[in-house]
Amino acid sequence: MKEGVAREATGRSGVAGRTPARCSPPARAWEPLAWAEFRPQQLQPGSASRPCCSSRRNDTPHPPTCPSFQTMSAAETKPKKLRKSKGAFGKDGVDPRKAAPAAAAPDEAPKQDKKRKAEDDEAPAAAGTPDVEEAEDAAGDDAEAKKEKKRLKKEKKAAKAALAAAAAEASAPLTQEEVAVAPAAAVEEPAAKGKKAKKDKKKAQKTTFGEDAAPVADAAPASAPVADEEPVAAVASSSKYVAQKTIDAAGEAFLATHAVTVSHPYQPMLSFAGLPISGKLSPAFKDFKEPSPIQACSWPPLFDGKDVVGIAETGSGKTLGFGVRSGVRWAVRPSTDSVTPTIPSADPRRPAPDQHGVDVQGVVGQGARAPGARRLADA
Amino acid sequence: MPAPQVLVVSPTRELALQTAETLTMLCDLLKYKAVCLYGGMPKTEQVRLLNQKDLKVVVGTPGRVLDLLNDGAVSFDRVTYLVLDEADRMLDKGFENDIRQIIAQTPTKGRQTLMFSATWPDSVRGLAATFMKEPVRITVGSDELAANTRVSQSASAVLAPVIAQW
Repeated sequence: MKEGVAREATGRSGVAGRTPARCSPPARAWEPLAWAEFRPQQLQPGSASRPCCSSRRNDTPHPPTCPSFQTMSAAETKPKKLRKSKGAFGKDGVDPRKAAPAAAAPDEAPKQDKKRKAEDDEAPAAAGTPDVEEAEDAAGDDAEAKKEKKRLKKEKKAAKAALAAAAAEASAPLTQEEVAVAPAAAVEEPAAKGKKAKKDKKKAQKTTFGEDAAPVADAAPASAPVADEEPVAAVASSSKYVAQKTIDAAGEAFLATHAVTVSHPYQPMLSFAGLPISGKLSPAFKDFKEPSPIQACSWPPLFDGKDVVGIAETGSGKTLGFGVRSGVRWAVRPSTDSVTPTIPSADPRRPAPDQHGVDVQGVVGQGARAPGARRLADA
Repeated sequence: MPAPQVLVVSPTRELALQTAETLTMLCDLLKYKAVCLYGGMPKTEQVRLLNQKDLKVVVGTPGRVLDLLNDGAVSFDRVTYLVLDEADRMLDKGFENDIRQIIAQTPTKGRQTLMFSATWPDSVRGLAATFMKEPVRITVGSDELAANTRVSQSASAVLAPVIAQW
């Protein structure tokens, strides 16, 4: 409204004393407009060369010096102004943080975390939804975990000497965490750790996001169940996937190459081989040589049962990334669905008649048709 | 009532369909079913798909998902894996309230929550702070919103010559 009034005043002052119906070239070439009121689309070169109002067409814009100017431009500029003001309040017009309902009580968080951990072990009693299939999977996955665990243990032993050097870094927060790295990597570890710790500290200062403030401290209790002293007997019942919570040199290099920043030091999964999933899912990766950065970095925390925020562009492979983890929640272990033959027979193409006297004929490809046809005819 | 265990919320129909395609591929390998829910299609067909045996995965846009949820056509009581895809775009499109209502229908305990976003503005941080527990944050590239360097931008002042004609 205020703008309209202002423009009207300007327009009149430019052609004072003239008839409003027709406008002729003004005495002055250029009547100064207030800068704020200038709208480029109102000054089109085409209309400027033509005497205004002579054509009597409503759709031709009037020049700013024409008395009819304000009637049109006011209508024209109004919606534009509305749109602009909406933008000034932000895209959705509300501050989402203010609108946020307090759904998650902060003091409940550790408890819930523990509970989730228990559920990730997939002990049927702990799981909120007793599911027969899931229990089955747990058995299969536990077996896998056991194997993985053993391997890690072996590596750990070998790396122990090298880790003595790393232990000197005890003051660095990362050393509390599970250390399970190949000997070669362990030698380079102190340097990598120092760098990482520094990075984390810097981030903690920079960000306002609460969880970042103490990422390493948070990780420590989570790694407790996979501590070195754990007896082998307990391994079977512990988490099926053991996340490596230190980043070795190869991991650091990977993060650096792909410009990836992580809030928690999980070792990126550099090949599909490390995925603790059913073999049935492997065809999903046949088109890919190695995991994409977001996949490599999100899988370890995902399989560790953590919530994950991924900041990456579309098409970075994240769908497959989270899809694989979703699949493992109910993935059937491969051995259970293989078909076991129940009729013992020397010739697989000619099984013995079963106890009910039913003769089964096998007709198979890759050979002459005649024998099969004969057997069918004989039967 | 169908009670899927995996819920993926996407900002657009196209992205939802794309995601559903990938997840269907994974589900096929495991003999499970995935369904995609989005607006602009009759609900009856989607309800039929929801009632398939072995349905484990639901992908959808916030509006239709909430619609079917309110219809009682689906229950999220057993969701253990929740994915918010392109969270920043969903907030841009004004889906915030829908998202919050949908998440409120999923169990708090035992739920693993994932969020993906191209940018990391305050609004997305707020959403993450509300619904996620100590999330691990992974940033590929910079999390600052930057202008695309492949687009050259220029501005020129053009009013002086036009006005000189008067």
